[in-house]
Amino acid sequence: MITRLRVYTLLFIVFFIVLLIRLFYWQIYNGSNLSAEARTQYKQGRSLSAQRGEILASDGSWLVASGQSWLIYASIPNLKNDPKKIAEKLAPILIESEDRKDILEEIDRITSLLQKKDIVWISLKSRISDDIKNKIDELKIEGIGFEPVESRIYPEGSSSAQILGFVGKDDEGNDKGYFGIEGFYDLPLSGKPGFISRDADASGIPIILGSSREVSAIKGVNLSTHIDKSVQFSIEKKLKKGIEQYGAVSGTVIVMDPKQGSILGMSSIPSYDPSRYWEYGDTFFNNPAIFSSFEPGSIFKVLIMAAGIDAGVIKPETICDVCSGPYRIDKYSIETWNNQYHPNSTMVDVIVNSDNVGMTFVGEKLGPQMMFEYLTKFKIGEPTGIDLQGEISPKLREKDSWSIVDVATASFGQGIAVTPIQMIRAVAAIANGGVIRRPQVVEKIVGDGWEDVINNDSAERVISEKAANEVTLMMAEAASRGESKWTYKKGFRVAGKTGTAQIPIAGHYDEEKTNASFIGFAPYNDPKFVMLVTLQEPSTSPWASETAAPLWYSIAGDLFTYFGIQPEN
Amino acid sequence: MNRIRKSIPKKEKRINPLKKSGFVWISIVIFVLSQIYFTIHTSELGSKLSTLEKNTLEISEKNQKLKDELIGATSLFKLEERAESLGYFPNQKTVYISSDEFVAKAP
Repeated sequence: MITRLRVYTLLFIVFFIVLLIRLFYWQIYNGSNLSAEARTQYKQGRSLSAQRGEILASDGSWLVASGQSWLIYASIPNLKNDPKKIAEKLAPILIESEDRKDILEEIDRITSLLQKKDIVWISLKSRISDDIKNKIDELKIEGIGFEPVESRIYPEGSSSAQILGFVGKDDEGNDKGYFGIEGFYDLPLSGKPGFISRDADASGIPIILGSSREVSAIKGVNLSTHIDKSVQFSIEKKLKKGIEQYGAVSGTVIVMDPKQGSILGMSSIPSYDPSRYWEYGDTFFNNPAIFSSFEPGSIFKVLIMAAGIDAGVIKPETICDVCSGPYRIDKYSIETWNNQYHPNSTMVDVIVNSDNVGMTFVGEKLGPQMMFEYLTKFKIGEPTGIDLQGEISPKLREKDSWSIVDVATASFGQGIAVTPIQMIRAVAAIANGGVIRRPQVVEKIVGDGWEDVINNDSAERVISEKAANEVTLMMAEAASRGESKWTYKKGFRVAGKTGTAQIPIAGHYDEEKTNASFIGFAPYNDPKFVMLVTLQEPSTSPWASETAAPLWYSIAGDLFTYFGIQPEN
Repeated sequence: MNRIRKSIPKKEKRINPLKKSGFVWISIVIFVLSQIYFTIHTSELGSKLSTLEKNTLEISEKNQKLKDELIGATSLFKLEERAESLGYFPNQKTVYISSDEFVAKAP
């Protein structure tokens, strides 16, 4: 009996020691690995994506909205059919094309992805729509699944693409805004992703008493812009038509409220579809309104005239005593655009006739120092600070390096480069009684239950109100009596100026190609808008009076009705 | 001085062993039953939470689809297409009249 008890005791001790060793192995020696393995079975963790903020028009409707699309993936170990057969089923649906060549290329692409070795999961295509997902769902292909991904919806298609920019990926594969508003306001639009971690049972149901940790995602803010959809719609349509009608290579239209600096509309063609940005080259992404520099030509004359009047070196009735023929400066001869000369022209006539010789007269009166000072006041040579990503600023010649020839050519807008947004901002200062403002696209930032208005407190006086009013009247005369008078809308108080500029190529000017522009505002006594139209290399006529000016008035016709601007009589 | 020592007789308290074990068993049963109840209750709550999350997801998806429709309906380009299909066309000429001019007058 005692022997049996001893044997049992011994066995019990041995069993206890084995158990201790095993427990030591499980809990101490291999504890961290086993607990990590266990955690993968009962721990559920995923990041909570922060919805990107939306971009709204001035009426609160969407310019860009956040939506949902799908990523289609293959779980390689779960594929039951031959990769080639799966690809043949998926390709015609995914490619959205009936072209046989495109479909075959897509089949090859998908097959090669499905045949990849040593991987478990692979993405086949991202940003596919609900319709495509449903069609693929109906095929019931084992091993093919979907994950929801955030997408951007552009209700107006490619309209405003260059103002809006697009959302692509950064180096780590996260969403990132590029160009335009998306690029400039990327951080507030992005929000902050969250994270959820909790215990769950085998079927994925959360264990309430288990550990749980959640950091909520913070949605990106919405941006309410000054962009007026009706204005934008009109300029998009008319610009497209104008480019076709006048055979131009490209074109830009900007409409701005001169009193507040608000951008009401901005369009450039050619453009791109931001929802399929990857199908376009980099050259399409830069917004020409803020990125392309050009020699403005005669539309620049109003700035020099304003400077001359404000400086007191000329008056509207000052007589040009060198306007009777070509004017010689250094080794160059300054001529008028049509080789017609107007002796004893007043400054009003100089603007009406767009007289290069008369402007050279004004330039000489100003002199290099004052010209530089006024151009600096008009912010020529510095970025406007518009809230769009991708703005450039052509450099203004250094203060002490202006020759008499530079002064002469700059006075009629050659030999000096500006961007369209710089040009419209400077002319908007004349329309605004001599006060310049920073152009602004976004009006306010809107969060959940709060909003923050972005005040445009950038007002600076450039010229006196009197000088601004005098130049405005000169521009009104130019609009009604100048070379574009045939397209002038009688009765409407339009102040405007045409500009035909030669294009510099490799140190000289192209003989045939021109940039045609028209800048103006209405009604000039209480401007509701200032608009710049610029067409690059129009082929039907090189002159702005026959291309950019009629396009300007065509758009203005819509704006008169929209803003309720009535004719005088 | 004589000290008188009094010995107080000890009273033995005896608890009925049957009562003691009964109390223990009742406690164990209550404990086990409450454990079972709370386990079922919490797993039920987990299941409810999971259902609510699924419902939230479904509602969010439906909400997104409605929003997509609304966004599409605000598109001016689509509105123009629809207006044209209904026979409307853009204004070709605007006639301006002065305020004292009659537009229409009853005979």
